[in-house]
Amino acid sequence: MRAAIEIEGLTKTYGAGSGSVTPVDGLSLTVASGEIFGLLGPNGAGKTTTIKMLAGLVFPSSGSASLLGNPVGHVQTRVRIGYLPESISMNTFMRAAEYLDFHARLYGMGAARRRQKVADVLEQTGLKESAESRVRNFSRGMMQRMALAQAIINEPELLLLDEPASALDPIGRRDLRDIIIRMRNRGTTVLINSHLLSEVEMICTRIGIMNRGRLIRIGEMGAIIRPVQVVDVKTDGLSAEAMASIEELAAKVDFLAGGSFTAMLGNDEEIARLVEIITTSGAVLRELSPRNMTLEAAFLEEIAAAERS
Amino acid sequence: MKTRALAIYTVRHTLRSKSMIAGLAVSLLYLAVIPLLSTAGGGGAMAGAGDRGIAGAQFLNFALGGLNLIGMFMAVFVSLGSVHDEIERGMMATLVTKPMRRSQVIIGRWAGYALLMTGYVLIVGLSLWLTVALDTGQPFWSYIPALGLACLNVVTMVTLTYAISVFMPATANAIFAFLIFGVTASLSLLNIAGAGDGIGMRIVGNLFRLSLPVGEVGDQMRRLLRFRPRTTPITPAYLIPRGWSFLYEIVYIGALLLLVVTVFGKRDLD
Repeated sequence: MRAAIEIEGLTKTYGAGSGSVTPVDGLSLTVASGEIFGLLGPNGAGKTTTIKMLAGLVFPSSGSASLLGNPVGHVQTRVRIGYLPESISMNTFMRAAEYLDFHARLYGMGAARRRQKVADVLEQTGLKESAESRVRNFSRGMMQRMALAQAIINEPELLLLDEPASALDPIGRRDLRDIIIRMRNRGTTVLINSHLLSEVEMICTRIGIMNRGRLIRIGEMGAIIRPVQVVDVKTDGLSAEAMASIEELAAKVDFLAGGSFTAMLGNDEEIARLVEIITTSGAVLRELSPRNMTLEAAFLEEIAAAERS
Repeated sequence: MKTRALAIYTVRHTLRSKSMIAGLAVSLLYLAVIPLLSTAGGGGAMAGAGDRGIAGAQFLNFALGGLNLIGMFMAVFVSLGSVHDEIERGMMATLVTKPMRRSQVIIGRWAGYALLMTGYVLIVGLSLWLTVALDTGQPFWSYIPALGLACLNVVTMVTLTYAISVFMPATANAIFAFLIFGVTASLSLLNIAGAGDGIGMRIVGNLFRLSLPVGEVGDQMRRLLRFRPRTTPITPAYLIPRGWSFLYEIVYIGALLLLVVTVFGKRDLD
């Protein structure tokens, strides 16, 4: 599959000498066409600088990047790209439809297409009812929806989203997810930089984790969020002897009130052994739920490992 | 089409700005008060001017000079934070990432400010002429070139402030622009410096005059209205023939725009 984004040794350095700062350091990354790729990392990891370099706002110090087969900054390629900045302030005197019409003009759309596209994106972003309202009356979440609307008004083949859900309420986030999935189904490639890991977990097919300007992990979501052998157990009548046996078996166990406990085990055989201990002790096993590792846990683990090394 | 869209957007945005609204209020006040100084037959401030034609010319010279000054002040205020503040607020990011060159963004925004301020000077200037023409029969065609120079001065101030806004935030821009304006508008002082015997003083005088030619062009504007400016008794050793200072001003605008386009084209917008 052809690559929508190709980054090779991308570096950005501000300043010179001992006071210089390098927010992005030799980043290499390929995002395939049609992929939803999540870029994660703690504050200062270089995610926003990376997206800004791809959007043509910041010039790289070295390295190269191409979008949809053309080098970053190629004017005609921008017709096929949408960009949502991390923070945006709008001219509040404008009405929502007027603001979007202005951005559609900048994409060179004719009057009929503009009318159709403005109505379309207002509908998609849930702002149809506010089309004639002035932006100054909008909440922060509505502003964020407007910003998203201007980014997708050209039906982009590549969408660069920098913290798209930061100001959205749960309904807004669901709408955002729907829009992104709908665009993915149309073949749009999406690059998302977000701190909202649960959102990323729900929609991204692949993620990259950045720390101190470098990409420390990249992979399919399934490979990064690997299963862990943590089980939540609910029992009735668990004896002290059984509890002692469980403590011996598990790497870690937390007993809670009412016969419930959480145990960290090494493998599936140990889970089977745990069930055996409970049932042979005469206790009743009411529930045993294996836990999946969350993206947040995987993310924190990766960052901690990177910091240690 | 994209540059035009940006220019129209800038006009509409600026028309709603507080600076523009305050400037328009001052202009309306000015238009209401200034005709009181032009009483028929050359009374009031024009008393003793002789015939009505001279009184009319003197009044237009005085009124257009006032408009020139108000226009230049407004030009500074409306374009103060145009580039720097829009980068800070993230508005520039949504423009620069659209399919157009950065130079188009810069020229489109500048054209909006320039068109708006030119329109403003033309409307107020023509209103001023009407108040006098009905009374003194002041010819229209001799007034037009002078009004054109007032427009040119206002566009120059827009361009200067706009250019500085690429480098500095609004407050620093205001200080810088008014500092240059304050120094170079004192044409009589510059003439004294430029007419001095020492080569050093001549260079300083001419450098100041060249750094912002609005004073020189304002002088030319007054001469077009057949009024001898106070600065004429001292003739400076000036690099550009006095009748051609407006051409230098056009080149000055072009050079500033080129500088802005070049700097903005290479600047990180983060």
